[in-house]
Amino acid sequence: MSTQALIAIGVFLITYAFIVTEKIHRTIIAMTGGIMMVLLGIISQEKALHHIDFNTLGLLTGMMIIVAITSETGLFKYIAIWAAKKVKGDPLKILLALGTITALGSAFLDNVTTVLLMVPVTFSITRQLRVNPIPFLITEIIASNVGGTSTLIGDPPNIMLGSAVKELTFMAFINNLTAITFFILFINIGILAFIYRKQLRTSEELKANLMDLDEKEEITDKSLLIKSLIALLLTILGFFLHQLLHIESATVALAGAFLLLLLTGEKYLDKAFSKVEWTTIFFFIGLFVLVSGLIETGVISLLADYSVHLTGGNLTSTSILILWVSAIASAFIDNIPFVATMIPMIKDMGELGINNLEPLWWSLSLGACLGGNGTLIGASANVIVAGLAAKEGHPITFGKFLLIAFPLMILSIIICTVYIYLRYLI
Amino acid sequence: MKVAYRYNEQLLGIKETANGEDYEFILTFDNKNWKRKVEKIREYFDENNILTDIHFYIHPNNRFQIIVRKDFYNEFIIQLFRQQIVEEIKWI
Repeated sequence: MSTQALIAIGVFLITYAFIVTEKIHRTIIAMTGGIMMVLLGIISQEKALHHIDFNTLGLLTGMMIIVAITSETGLFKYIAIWAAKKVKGDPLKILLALGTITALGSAFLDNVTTVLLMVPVTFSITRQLRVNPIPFLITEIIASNVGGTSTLIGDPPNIMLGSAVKELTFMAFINNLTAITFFILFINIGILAFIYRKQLRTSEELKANLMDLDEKEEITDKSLLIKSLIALLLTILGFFLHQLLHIESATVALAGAFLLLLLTGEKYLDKAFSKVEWTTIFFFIGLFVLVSGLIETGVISLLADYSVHLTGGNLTSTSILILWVSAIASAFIDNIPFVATMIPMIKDMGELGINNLEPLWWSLSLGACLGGNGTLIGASANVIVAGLAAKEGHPITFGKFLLIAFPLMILSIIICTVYIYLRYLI
Repeated sequence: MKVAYRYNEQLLGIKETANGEDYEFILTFDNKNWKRKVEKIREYFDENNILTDIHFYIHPNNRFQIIVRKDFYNEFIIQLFRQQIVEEIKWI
């Protein structure tokens, strides 16, 4: 192994360690690690720029702009109250409804954005019914991670996969992951509803009060809502058709975002751009450069070679190994750097004799996305909801979450193992 | 210290109930334009990033149910005064 490869591994491991400890913001660490790769001569600036996946960045930015403007309309509160009324104000059924709405939202929007929109509504509904909000919040965390797994745009690991592998189109994700993830979702929500059933009771008077709410009044700007819905629906249609039209997913998202800005006018421009999570965008940039150091020095190829050697190049063993390692790793560390490292490794496995990479990609996606449900620090949505809940006097402790979510995550991965085996490996 | 308030009973109705850690208000009025006043109060509390300070619920016929956490009671009454929904407030 060359000296440059050893330096690259050193920079990578130190950066990773700092990301895991969360002592310094992950964006600062990832960017510092990426810059070190260039400064130490591991990779040239030109090559570093070449490794930055602008499709991932464009897709994230476009969707963030659309969500920033749409969230101004009161749409999410309208949907939540409408759903709560549809189930006659019954807390148990509201838990199922809010979980499903969160999963559907996360399938098309960023998970963190979805929970940020759902949590205030959840506090509002549970307060009116005088029920404990924690079962609802835990359900929403789990639903957001499961729902995000179902589409190309639902979770950053999927965005990265879809961007790195041409064959993994929006429709490919729908065809391969949507049904299984929604099956897992309903198993998870069903178990949660059973666990919390005794806490999900309220009086008939409070139910009647909720039934009397006028959800239409929650829409604050009807004209903006229409424009947002037009842009959002066209964008989603664009994702369905992007392979057919030979355009990348980032082009679809950015076209949707700027169509919306064109319709709304520049008064929303500054606000929409201020709500783009630039820290996340730069976190990705840092990671892409960091991993490029490992790729260019041949470290990733060596790791792939070792993994193939470990599994004897057997497709079944390799798929199951990737699924479980990704899930356990993602329960404790950020799944974005993990997936950024795994993508080139799996690509290299293709060159080392594994002909059918499809089951490996789906194993990585399912493992990395669903693994985030294992612990309170497994995904950004978990941390955000726990932080908001603690601030509002309803703490979700690490242990309390682990006790419920970790077995659910293991159950989900067992279901995925059976699914991967039956669908791709026999 | 608590706040006492007075309002024009010809124009609106305010029903206040203590409820554990919260106070619950029911506001009703005939003038549709007053809805904007309530929205302004809602926007004020939305800006502080606290999710459970005040919950607003909109019912038909200009009826607003507002659940106010005890520690935000005075601030809420001050906002009612600021929007001229109540006409007089004083410390008691």
